[in-house]
Amino acid sequence: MTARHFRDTSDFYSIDCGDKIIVADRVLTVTGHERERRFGIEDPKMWVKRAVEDATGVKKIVKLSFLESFYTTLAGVKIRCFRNPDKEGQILSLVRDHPLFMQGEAYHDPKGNNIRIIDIVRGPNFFNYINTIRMDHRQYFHDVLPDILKKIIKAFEAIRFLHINDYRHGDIRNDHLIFQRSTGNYVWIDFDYDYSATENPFAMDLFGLGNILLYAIGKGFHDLYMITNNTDFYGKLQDDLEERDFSLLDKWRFINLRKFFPYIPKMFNDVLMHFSKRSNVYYETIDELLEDINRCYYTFFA
Amino acid sequence: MKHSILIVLKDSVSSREALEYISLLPFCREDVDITLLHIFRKTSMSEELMGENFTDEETQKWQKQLDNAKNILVSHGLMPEKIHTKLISDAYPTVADGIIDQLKKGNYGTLVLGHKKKSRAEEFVKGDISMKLLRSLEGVAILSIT
Repeated sequence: MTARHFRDTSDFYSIDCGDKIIVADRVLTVTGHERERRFGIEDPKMWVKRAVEDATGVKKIVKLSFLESFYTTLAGVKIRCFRNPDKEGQILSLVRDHPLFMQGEAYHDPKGNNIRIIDIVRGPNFFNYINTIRMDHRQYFHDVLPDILKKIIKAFEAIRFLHINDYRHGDIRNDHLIFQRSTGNYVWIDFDYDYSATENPFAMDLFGLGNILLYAIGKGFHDLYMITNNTDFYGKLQDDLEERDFSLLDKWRFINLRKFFPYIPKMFNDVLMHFSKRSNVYYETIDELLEDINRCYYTFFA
Repeated sequence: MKHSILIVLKDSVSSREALEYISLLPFCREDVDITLLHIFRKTSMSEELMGENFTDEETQKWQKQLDNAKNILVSHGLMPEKIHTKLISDAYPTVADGIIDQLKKGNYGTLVLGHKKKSRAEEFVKGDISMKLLRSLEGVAILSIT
């Protein structure tokens, strides 16, 4: 059977394994679809193709234009989210050769659809990476976290680079940060999401960074369900909980880690508590967050 | 004593209440100079897709709103020649940035704006113009009307 050739990628659902996508002077053979792997579910992302570039034999990810738009509600606040392929294309140009961002090129097909050809970043995502560390939290905090935090600071500075150039990552999650095996860097991927502008244009990025920091310091997330159902691990912590110990935007997520891990310095915990219901003061810019994290790092780990 | 007031208006109940509050104050009409201002916030990329017609309509709509606001103040006895309208067509990253910039350019003694009470989560996600201005400004009286 001869392979089908696609220059117009509007109908991305019909582009399947063995088909060829032709963009500019590049030809890529589709080998499969990327999948969204969250909450134990694997959903194929039909607009994200796995492919091999014919000229080089190098594996690539080809992201086609999918203009999804939806509302999400966080703690009662309605936010309009949408995919913005052009934004991702512009960021790819901005971060060319930046070691802490995925690399790739953006093109447009004859129908004006944005196509991004992305280099694969090899390594576990931050979610899986932290999950595989087998040791108790105290040892992790003292022996492993300092190096992790050093790299997190660099990754956060990379996001600052986007912000000072008026771009948001748009979907900062612990599975969009890859521990790149070949370099040891934490590399950001997938920046095609965006959300409607507000008076706090970087709020959702900052919230995402707060979650990554919480995940790193806590060696995973700790939620109310875990705390109440795993008393072997959490002991009587559930008797000592207050509403303000939990996340401002995710009511089950435990933020006040020092209540359970008392050796976490207050200075560290205070940074996290900016994202809790207790806080009256929020980070408005990444500079404020970075300043506080750096102070913690140099006070306790440097 | 001459006094220059900048009133920031947006499409909200609190803005209308702020205007009403100012209109009821016992000013010495010869000494007060009022500027009614509306600022456009930079749109996100998807909003840009709404096109130039949408932007033009918004501009026309806001010029009308500012004129109506001026008429309200005049109907309460203020002098029309002492009330100015200012529609800033250059979009700012945030409304607060725009207000700060306009305050720097003008010689205003008082800033008036409406303020909607927000939950903490809403304040974090959407931001709060009044809080931002309180933190950023100095040398100006800020009247935030809830």
